[in-house]
Amino acid sequence: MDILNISNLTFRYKNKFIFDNFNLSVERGSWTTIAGPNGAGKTTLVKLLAGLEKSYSNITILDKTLNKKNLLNIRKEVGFVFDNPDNFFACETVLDELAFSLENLGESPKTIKKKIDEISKLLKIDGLLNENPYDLSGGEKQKVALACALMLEPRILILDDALLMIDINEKKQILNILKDYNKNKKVTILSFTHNLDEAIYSDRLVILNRGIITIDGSFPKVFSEEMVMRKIGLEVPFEIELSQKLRVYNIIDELELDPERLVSLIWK
Amino acid sequence: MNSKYPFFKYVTGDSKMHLMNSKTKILWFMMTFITILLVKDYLSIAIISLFLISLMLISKINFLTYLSNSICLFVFYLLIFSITFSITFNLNIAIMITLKVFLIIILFLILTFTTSLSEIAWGFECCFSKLKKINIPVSKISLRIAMDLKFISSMFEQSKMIKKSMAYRGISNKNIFKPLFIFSKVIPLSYRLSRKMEKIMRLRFYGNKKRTNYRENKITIFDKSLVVIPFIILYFVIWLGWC
Repeated sequence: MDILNISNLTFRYKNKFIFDNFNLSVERGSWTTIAGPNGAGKTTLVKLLAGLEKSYSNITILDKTLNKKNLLNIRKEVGFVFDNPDNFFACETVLDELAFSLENLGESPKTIKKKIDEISKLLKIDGLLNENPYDLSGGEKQKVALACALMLEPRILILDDALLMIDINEKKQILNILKDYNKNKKVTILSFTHNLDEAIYSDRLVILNRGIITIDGSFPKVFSEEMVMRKIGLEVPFEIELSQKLRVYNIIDELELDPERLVSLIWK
Repeated sequence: MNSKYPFFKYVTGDSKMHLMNSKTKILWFMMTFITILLVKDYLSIAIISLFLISLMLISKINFLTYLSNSICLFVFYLLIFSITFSITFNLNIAIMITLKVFLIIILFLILTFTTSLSEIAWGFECCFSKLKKINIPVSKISLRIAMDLKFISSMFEQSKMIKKSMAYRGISNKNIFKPLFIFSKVIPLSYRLSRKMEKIMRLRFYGNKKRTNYRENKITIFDKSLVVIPFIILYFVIWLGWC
């Protein structure tokens, strides 16, 4: 069953069409990654879903049509994390920032405190609670922005290059946390990125180029179109590239994403 | 001015001033503001100054931070002094008005250093919540007041950024038109930033009717006494014939 549905989306900036008759549907409880090079229309699509840009289309989120009347109700259920966290902060301390959306929705201070404790520990930002979010490093800012989105306990989480500035080790931990949210809390994740390493965690990969879906499918299916991806300027992860070459030499049977398993298969 | 001296920007802390209830803080602010406007003699100015100095010390923020922030507006005070003197030709009035402006700036600094923007907006909203009954958009106005304060602080931050980017491009510091150039760039940039902030706050559900306050601090004796002190000063000023 679809949780998000975009049909016949047409959008343009001045005379330049970004989307022309664009269609996409996202299944409930799935993790979909939409990847594409610069100018593919990823951020525009996020802005359209957040209601920050108006378009002539029929966008349905959680069975509600995205319009001015439903916008507030939809936003309560959807957590957004934008690529530039500075565009998201409204308060002067991380603590206030985490509490802000829930305060505005009328949650009790007790519930807010409980959620802040839980999420700040989960994302390891409990040491930053009294800091000014504008004074943090890029990665820390992105973690705070993600924490703000998770505070709302969203049913859909939309990430626009949200982990771009976070270092590799922490990124892996956060992606695992998000996977846990996806599997156990049934949060539908829609991740927009140009880094395909993050896409490994998703169930479905959509390659977007100049407002058109070029490839759409499961991870192995999309990576079988490696040449197309290279042509549009997307870098294929090392593990994928290596396992595809090993497949040519019949060393492995199918795509292997775990580097350690890949090593053991080579040495078998 | 470096980052140690944030102009009209919240400084995190746990002083009694920081922990004041938002509503009583705004009441204290408004009462003190009115008192400063009404006083007309140097004795009252001295009493209010003592009152503000004691609050600065209670706020646990370096006294030099207040001083450097208020003194950096030296040109502004000079302008106020010149304008009032050229209108009234009375040195006494010109000095008095300039002193009042100086105290108002200090008052604003105490408020903004110890209160976050969301608390300021919330405090104004609580104080004027009765006006909602006659369809006055209190929430929108409170948010606008908070954002305008943000506008002032962001103006200083933007000017620092423009100065830096000019230095990177090798534009000379000795250029006499530099301040004018920075000023012309800073105003639209800061205005855009504060309007963007307003948009962000709306995106994050600000303006909802059932708002709670996570940091809603209880009204303490300290809060009550801060609201009462300006009243007492006003009583002395008005009823004892000081003005």
